[in-house]
Amino acid sequence: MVGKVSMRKWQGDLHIEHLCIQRGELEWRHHFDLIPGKILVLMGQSGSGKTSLLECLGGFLPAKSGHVVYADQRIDTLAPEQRPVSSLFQQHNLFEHLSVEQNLKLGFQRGKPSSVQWQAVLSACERLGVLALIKRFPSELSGGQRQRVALIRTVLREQPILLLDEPFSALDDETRSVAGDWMKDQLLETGQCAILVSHQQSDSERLADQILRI
Amino acid sequence: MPQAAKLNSQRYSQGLTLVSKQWLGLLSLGFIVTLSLLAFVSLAGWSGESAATYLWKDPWFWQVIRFSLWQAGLSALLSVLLALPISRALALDPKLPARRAFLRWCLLCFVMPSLILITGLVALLGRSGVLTPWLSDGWRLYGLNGILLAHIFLNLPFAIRVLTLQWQSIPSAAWKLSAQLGFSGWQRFYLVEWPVLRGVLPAVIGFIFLLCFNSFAVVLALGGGPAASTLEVAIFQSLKYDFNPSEALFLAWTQLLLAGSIYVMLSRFGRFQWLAPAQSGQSDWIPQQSLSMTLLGRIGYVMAWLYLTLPIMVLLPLAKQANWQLLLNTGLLSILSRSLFLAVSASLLSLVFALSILSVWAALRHSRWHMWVSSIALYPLVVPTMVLSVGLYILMMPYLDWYRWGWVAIVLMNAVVVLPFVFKQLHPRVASYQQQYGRLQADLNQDRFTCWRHIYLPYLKPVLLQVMAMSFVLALGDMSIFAIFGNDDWRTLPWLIYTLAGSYRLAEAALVSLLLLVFAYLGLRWLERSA
Repeated sequence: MVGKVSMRKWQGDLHIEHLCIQRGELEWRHHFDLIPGKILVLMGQSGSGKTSLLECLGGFLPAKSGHVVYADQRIDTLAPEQRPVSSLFQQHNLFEHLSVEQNLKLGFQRGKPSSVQWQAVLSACERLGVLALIKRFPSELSGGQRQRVALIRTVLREQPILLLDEPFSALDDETRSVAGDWMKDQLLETGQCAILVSHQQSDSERLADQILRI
Repeated sequence: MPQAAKLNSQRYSQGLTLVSKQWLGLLSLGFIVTLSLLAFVSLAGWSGESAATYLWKDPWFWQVIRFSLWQAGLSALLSVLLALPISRALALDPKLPARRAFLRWCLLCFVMPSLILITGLVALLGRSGVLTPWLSDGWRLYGLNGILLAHIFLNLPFAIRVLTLQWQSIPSAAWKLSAQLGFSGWQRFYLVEWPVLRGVLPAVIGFIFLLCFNSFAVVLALGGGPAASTLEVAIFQSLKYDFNPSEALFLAWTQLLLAGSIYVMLSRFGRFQWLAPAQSGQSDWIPQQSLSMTLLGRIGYVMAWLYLTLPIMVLLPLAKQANWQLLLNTGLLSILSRSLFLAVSASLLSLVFALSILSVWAALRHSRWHMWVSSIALYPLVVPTMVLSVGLYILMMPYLDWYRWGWVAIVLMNAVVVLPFVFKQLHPRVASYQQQYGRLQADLNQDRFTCWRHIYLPYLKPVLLQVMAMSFVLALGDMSIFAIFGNDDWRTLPWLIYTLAGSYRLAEAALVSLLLLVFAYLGLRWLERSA
């Protein structure tokens, strides 16, 4: 059993203020707050703008108007690299030419986690059942295993805002609940907040502190 | 702040970021553009007058253009036509022996230093060639015959590789379906095979045409007179023998215009793949061929083996008669190490050019800018090497001792000349990296060193090794740049072969050719193994 380790704590609130996002003909407006340690589950049909909101918060899609404020600082003016967010995309979360271990290490500065950080990664891998796989390459993993590896890196990256686009879509019910519980524990401990896109009612029931239907 | 001013200041800061992060790539782009501008300006300035437009009325000028186009057209068409049955057999005849070896040999033939082949052809079909007694009395290697034989030797293998990969790319489901629907042989060709070929044929013909149009060493060595001269050789001769820069300038503009328009047409034809590692054939189900088609394919395959190996095989017995002492006295070892040093440096430099330019390419957002960056990197393919070399030579002559610094120019110019190949091979890989991982990389926010060292270079590595080996072999075989900047006291392997063959020392030329071939082969082995 890998020992429990202490992590960095976050205390800022996230404010989405009159954010207007436009994609082609479509336009969406959002206004909500999220406090540390909480999860907001975004639900809605395909094409309803869930991914666009995450892309906008990540800095990959410019907002038409409105502000994004974290810990009293505007972050919507920052380049993607400088935003205090960590994203799990729908696909291409792992570098296929690097081993799982290397992929996990790239969540940390210079690809070199401290021993405390790496301990946390290993402990998460054990809990999510991927510890035995870390010497493998992503192509040797199933869809669900890849998703868990990517989730671990995204959550443990020490960024206060997590943007998770369908993080459990490839997981069966049991693994889904293990991964969800782990994430929730992690967030409570560190004060990170998460915006999570899901199509599953069960995810929102189990994980959501807030639900946003769009 | 008003909207427009805000936009301007945003653009300004984006521009500053680009310059601070991409200075090496911008420097490379600037270098290539400046080099070409200065080359043309210096040619124009030297003559003190405009280009020799009077050539327009000279029948010799039209003869050169006609011949350049004619030989390139014939070489391209024949290469592709001959490649068709052979590629089909390679892809669809599972009983064909040594297919992998053949495809590997094809790759070597395509990048083979042309001086090796020229020596081989002279030994085989020249005045006292091994096969010459069996040919008709009127046979002459020099002229169109020799040029076609050499150009097809160099380019048929390229066409074979592209077309074989194309045929192999047909999914086995399509073959199975065609069998279940009871297609005849012709129907199957028209409905299953032709669609995958149609896309690449014009591009392959166009590309070979361009290579042959710009060919230098083959035409210089096998042209055998003014009747069979191409523009590139004419430029060389007007400078080297007549020292007439204004004439060279006019020829250079003509060459640039023609090769440029061919390239523009070619770039609309689509893309093809040829460097992918040779496959040993499809393991899945492919249909049974008719007996006549199978026979035709096998005969073509045997002929291709003979055609592509005889000019090299003939060098072996010849090389045995070589006078080793004479070669050692000419400083063979230092020539060899010089050649290797120049080729390795040029291929490394071209990689630096290509990677830094691709980094600029990736950092730019608009497709219009993408097009400009790609055009600059690919443009050395159409500009005559001779023009760049001679322009640079004349430009720097007052300030630089070329006798001493010629090697720097040889490395630089070879790197520029192989850049289009390197760029074209690396480009898809970089583009797919951007597409797959661009966001992930931005999200992970690693410093540039970590990104390059731990993510980007490992991703590019297989292709990087391939293109490095390829550019090494291409630079190793360089003739035209050395023809300008080199000198007899300071020879490279191809130039040594040229002078040996020119002084009727064919046995020694054969030996050095084989030596050059061994190094080219070692480079390519590395390529295929690492791919």
